[in-house]
Amino acid sequence: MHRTARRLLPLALVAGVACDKGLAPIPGLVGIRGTVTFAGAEPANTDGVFIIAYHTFPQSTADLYSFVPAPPLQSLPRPFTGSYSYTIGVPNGRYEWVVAVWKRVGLLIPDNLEEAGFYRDQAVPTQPGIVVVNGTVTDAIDFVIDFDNMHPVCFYIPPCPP
Amino acid sequence: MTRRLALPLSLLAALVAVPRLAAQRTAVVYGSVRDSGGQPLRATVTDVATGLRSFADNQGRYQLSVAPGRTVVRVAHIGYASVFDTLTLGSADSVERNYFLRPAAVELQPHVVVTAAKRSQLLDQAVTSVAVLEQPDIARRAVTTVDEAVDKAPGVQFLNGQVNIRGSTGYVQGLGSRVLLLVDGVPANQGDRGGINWDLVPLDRVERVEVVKGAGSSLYGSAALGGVVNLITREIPPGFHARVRATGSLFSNPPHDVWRFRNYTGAREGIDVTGSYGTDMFRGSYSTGGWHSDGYREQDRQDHWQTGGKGEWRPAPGTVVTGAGSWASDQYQVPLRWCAGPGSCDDRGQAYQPFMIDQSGRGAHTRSDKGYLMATLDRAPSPRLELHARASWLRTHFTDFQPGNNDAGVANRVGAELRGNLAPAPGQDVTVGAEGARSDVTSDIFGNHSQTELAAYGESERGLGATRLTAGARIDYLAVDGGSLTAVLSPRVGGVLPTARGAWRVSIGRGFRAPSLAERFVSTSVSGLTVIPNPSLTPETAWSFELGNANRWSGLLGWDIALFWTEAYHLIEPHVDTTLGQIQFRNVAHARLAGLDLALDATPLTRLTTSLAYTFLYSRDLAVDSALAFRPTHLLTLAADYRWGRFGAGGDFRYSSRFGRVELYPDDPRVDAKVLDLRASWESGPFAARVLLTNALDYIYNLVPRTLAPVRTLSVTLTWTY
Repeated sequence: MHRTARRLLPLALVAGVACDKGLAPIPGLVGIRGTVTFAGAEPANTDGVFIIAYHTFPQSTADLYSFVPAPPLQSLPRPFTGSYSYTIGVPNGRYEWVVAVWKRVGLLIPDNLEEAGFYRDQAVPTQPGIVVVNGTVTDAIDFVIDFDNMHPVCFYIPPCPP
Repeated sequence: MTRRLALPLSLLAALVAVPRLAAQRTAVVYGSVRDSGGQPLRATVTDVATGLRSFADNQGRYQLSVAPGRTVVRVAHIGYASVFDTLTLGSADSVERNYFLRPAAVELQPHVVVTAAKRSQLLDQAVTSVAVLEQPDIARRAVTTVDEAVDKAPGVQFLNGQVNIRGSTGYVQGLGSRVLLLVDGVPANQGDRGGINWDLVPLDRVERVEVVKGAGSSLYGSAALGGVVNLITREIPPGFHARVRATGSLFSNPPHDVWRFRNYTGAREGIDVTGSYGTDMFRGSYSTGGWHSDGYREQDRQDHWQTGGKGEWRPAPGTVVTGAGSWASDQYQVPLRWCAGPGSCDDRGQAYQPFMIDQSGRGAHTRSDKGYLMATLDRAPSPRLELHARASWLRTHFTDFQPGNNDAGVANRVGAELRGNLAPAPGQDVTVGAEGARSDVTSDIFGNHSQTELAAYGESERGLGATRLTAGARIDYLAVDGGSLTAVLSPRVGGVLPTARGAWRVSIGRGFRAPSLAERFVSTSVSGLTVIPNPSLTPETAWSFELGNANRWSGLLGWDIALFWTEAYHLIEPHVDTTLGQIQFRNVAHARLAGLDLALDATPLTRLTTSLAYTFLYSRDLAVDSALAFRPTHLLTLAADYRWGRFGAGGDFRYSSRFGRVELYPDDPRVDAKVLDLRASWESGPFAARVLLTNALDYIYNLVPRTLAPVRTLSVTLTWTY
């Protein structure tokens, strides 16, 4: 018996050493945090407002679905007035467009989506700002969501229907 | 037309012919089975030709009726090397044979299997790889469900209930299994989704599991694209027998306080009761039971109830009429995905909470009822002919309760088969048969549809010198909603060559899977995307090649090694059309799965048995030139058991390498899977106690997206057998 135990001991040791504990808590969130400020009146047929991020600015309607975080998305809470501190969990990386998407009631198709605001470059406010996430929360990604100045998908990816 | 009907009609005529009771007299083999120390063993004594069995009692005594003539008897008990004994008996002979079994590792061979060729054959004569799990082995491991029992078989991996044989299926949330489940040879995949209900048959009723690897469509048709799992239920022994099994389990709490989700320790408790009575002519068994589980994570409660029975009528030697049925009902909460990201749950500042669920899935639960009825007639009118007929009905019913949206469906699958196994000349075996099945579904998301399958098959095996060659084919005709027929031909050729260096086997065969009714007609929405039907889906197909060797040295060391290569075409995968916001199942993928499958067993010490199973898998989606999702490159299982009189102790270690690719959440952290199970047992007369510690290292991991795999669980099982 003792001889058997001695023979098995190396195997048990190898197994024990080889094993870590698997997944572990990741303190804190890796993502983007900031404050959005609402402007304008919420459209009557609003389904929700979502904040998402793109690694690269979408060039086609197919690219529209290459966003993070992955669905299902959770809308910012109502009412869509005043200011709201948001946080989204996204992987490490460089993001060219952090954007608020307004969605009309209905299917998740381009016709029901409009850009309602995005994080802007501090030097050139007409351009989207670059956000880099590296192992923690990238803070102060603040921007305005203006329901009176929304843009349909075809504004960025033409053509627009006549 | 007349010629086409001649064979089936002649088989039918032979089946229904009145058995010549008076003309057939039996011989009897009796005696005892003991281990090398003289202790009685409750071994199984089997007539290899007919598959009829006798079970030794507490004193090791047995009695087996056999047909006069040459008979091969196999005596088997887990943990011991089987003994094969060839006897020549005259009519009404009564011969005493006492057997002594020698301790040995889990056997790779010789085994008798029935699935690889749709007839009884020795394992080392099968042209494809077969893994066998015997009931004592299942009991020793103290698992409680069928999928737990099959999970550690060489080359097999379960992904949240979806079985993979050499990476065949991946993970598609239970839809469209590329493995066919059989219950006593009867197909049992769902009629609507094509998936498998592993709780259809209580584990306590399972005598043996045979896992046939690689394409098996040349005999079994659709769904046998990646392999076949056959659950063979227990034989009913003569006399009165009963068995009560009670199980209690405790789930480990989360290993980190920040992951805690409840203030008590979750538990699982269950009980099964089985009774049987048999005479030489009539035998019957009935079992019932249930269990409740708190689950090991948030929103994971489950209640399960089951009942089932089996009856046999043996009007004459070599003739058995069997009726069997089972019904199981489950009510379970649906954990869905774990919580990740702010606002999804009480995240406590964590990037993800593996024990908590995403709020979007809160309140979801399911009721799932499923059952089957089957009747079979087996008859051996002569030593050269065995006939088999069966009819079966499988019914599944589910209701998914989701916040604001409930889905429901009822599906049926009725089937019938007529088969003959002939031995026209010494060394030659021929299997021919015809099979038909009809599946239908009534559901708010699948609609009202039906699918009809008609098939004919034949396979011949004959000796050529020392080599045994096999060739056969099956043709399936498929019709959906009574429309035009689609024909699929599935040939297979193979050979086995026994040598001084073991038995070499080679085979190549074609497999296919018909699209399930769910894949063709599903109409629902997922996360805002519309899932639309695709009635024009065609069957997915695969060519499967295997070269293998099985060998045993001096009774202490044995192996079974196989090189395999599968080339799959038109695989059915969900296709997301981002422009239209739609998901549709389409024939899109061309995939390759190739690798090495090794099973090794050894008995380094008299009481110590060990085994190693390793699968190397190369998987590639050639259509998009990337790894196939949810396939591990390395899958390793180590097992060891030590027996000391009434006591036993052992363990399994399973390593699954990190998936090269996953879908849905590719950026989530994921790890290799390293799972250690430990067990101990004590047996005394009719009582047995088993302790099982699964995932003893409490390794936290997931195999499918955001779904926590089971944590450390301590189980105690008490069994009383009369």
